Amino acid sequence: MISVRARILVPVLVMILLGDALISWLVLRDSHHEIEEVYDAQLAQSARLLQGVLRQGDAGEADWERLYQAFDQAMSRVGVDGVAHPYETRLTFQVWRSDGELLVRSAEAPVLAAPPATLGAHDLLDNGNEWCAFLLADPQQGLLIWVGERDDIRQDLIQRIMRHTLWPTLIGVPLLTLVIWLVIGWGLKPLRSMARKLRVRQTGSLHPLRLKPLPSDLEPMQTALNRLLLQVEELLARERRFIADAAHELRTPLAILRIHAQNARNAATAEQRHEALDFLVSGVDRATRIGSQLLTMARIEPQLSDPQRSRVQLTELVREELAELTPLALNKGVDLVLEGDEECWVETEPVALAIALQNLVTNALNFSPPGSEVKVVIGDNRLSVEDQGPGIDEADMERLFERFYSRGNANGAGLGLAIVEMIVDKIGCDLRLYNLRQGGLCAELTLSQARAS
Amino acid sequence: MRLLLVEDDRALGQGIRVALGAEGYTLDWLQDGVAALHAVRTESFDLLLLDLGLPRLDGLDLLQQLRAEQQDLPVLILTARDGTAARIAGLDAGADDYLIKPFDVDELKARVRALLRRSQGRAQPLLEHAGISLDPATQQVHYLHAEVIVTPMEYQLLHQLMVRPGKVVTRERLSRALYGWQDRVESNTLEVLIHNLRKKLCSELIRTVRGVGYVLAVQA
Repeated sequence: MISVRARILVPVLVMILLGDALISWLVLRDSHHEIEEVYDAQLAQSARLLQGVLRQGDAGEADWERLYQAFDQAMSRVGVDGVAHPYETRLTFQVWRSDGELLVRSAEAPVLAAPPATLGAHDLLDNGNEWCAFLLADPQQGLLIWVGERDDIRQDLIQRIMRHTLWPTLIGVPLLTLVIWLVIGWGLKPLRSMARKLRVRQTGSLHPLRLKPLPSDLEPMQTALNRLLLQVEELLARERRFIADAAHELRTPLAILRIHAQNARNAATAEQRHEALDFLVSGVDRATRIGSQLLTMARIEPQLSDPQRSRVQLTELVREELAELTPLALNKGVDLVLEGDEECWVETEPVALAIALQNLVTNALNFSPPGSEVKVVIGDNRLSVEDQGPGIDEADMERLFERFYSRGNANGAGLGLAIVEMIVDKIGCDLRLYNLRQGGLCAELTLSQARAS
Repeated sequence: MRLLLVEDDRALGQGIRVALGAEGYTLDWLQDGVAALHAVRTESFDLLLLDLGLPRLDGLDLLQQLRAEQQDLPVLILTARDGTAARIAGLDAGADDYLIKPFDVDELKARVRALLRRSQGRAQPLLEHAGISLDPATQQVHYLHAEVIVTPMEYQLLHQLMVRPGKVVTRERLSRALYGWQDRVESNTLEVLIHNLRKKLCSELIRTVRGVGYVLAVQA
């Protein structure tokens, strides 16, 4: 992608050049015309001057000759004399009598068969040379006075004048380009300094950017960037906390393994050793469960950051999950029962909901005495798991959702409810735990009803 | 010696009970902070083994409350909280020692011995009195430099008397120290043990204070 500087400079330059060209063209066209007018006026003035000279006295043959000589001499000095003006032109003249008889003609003047028909300013062609001329009639003396100059010479002069007016434009545009380039650079300085600050930051640094002073249009960028940094930092903090929690709470299962291993080694009798080894095995099982639940958490955490909700047939989903949990229930000698509506459509993220259900049912099974019943009830957009276990202490309530809190349950990893809570939080449903009046615990999930489709 | 273990994890509590039980200690085990507070207030223990993350009452709060009530029994914290700040907080709250999970069982036993020794105002690991020498680490008893073979129960009884020589130890205290809450105590068991000890050592050493308890004579 081209740089911001180029993106600004190129259109600006194109516009300046186009505008400049247009303005120059208009200026040239108008000034060309005006200069022509000025030169024409000069011709007219010269004609009147000549008229003035001719009125001095009665002009005879000799006078015409002298006039011719004087004029020729004067004109021959054009552009040569010390005080010459660069824009002087060589004027020519001729004078006719009113009846068309030529009285005098300067050397360079065109040879015309008859005086031109139009009075005033006019152009005429002679021998391939174009002439600009002015014809003045003097009825008092019965003269026709013609003053003219070669058009190509006049055009040369005009071109020179024009060139002078164009010079500033030709020098000015590159200068302007340079200045604009520098100014854009100055304008983009805050952006560049922001980029530099970002570049030289330490790779792991998540401190918010504090650039000051910052132009108001970069403020939103800094804010957005800082918000992003904050999110990343929170995410990392959550990960770190999770790892720290996990490492910390693995200490208890490890302590269990170690103490029973040492007890087995120190056991005085085979019976004691056997007992210690049994504890050791169940300790290993528990550590394994913690490992797999940690994996579950790690697996669903990214999925939950962007939950894909869809319309789900709740009964179907629950039935599939319960089928998978049936071996565990059989193993514990607990009846697993499903009750409720056949048709219950909810709007949820199915994978996460399945994991939540799995954890709730596993919990219920773990706290159920053999021969009891764990009942899953569907209805009214609710999904509840009821057991006939000991229920929960009021005092325990607040600790239930803590990671790794397992109510002293030697088999629990203490992550089940923490996982459920995480899911419930993210997929936007509601979890309530309460003791049933007839004994046992009920975990109730309230889901959002699917829109009829 | 009667120890109170407060630990909410069943598997770990079971392991500690087995490990310390093998040392001849009487170990009572509770799983929540409130019950532990109540027990320490109403009964006498020689040492408290305390987990910190407890239901109903956190271990640290329990400890602070005990110290505020002038309960000065030695306390060994057993916890997974391994940060320096947590250790400092534990010791400053009144703990005498701090052991981080997972711990070595032998280290736990040694620390328990050291704490008990210190609480009895001794620096010497051996208890010695009137020619009797008792080694808590090995649970061996010597009388006049000859080894005396005693059962764990006899050892515990002798230990109780040896830490308070010249002072009367009540029957209640002795039977609690020997049996805790779990075992059924036969009414004449204490007498049988005393009788055995008198036979193995010098009969003059352990004197009966009728209706009250027993005392280890200052001089035979």
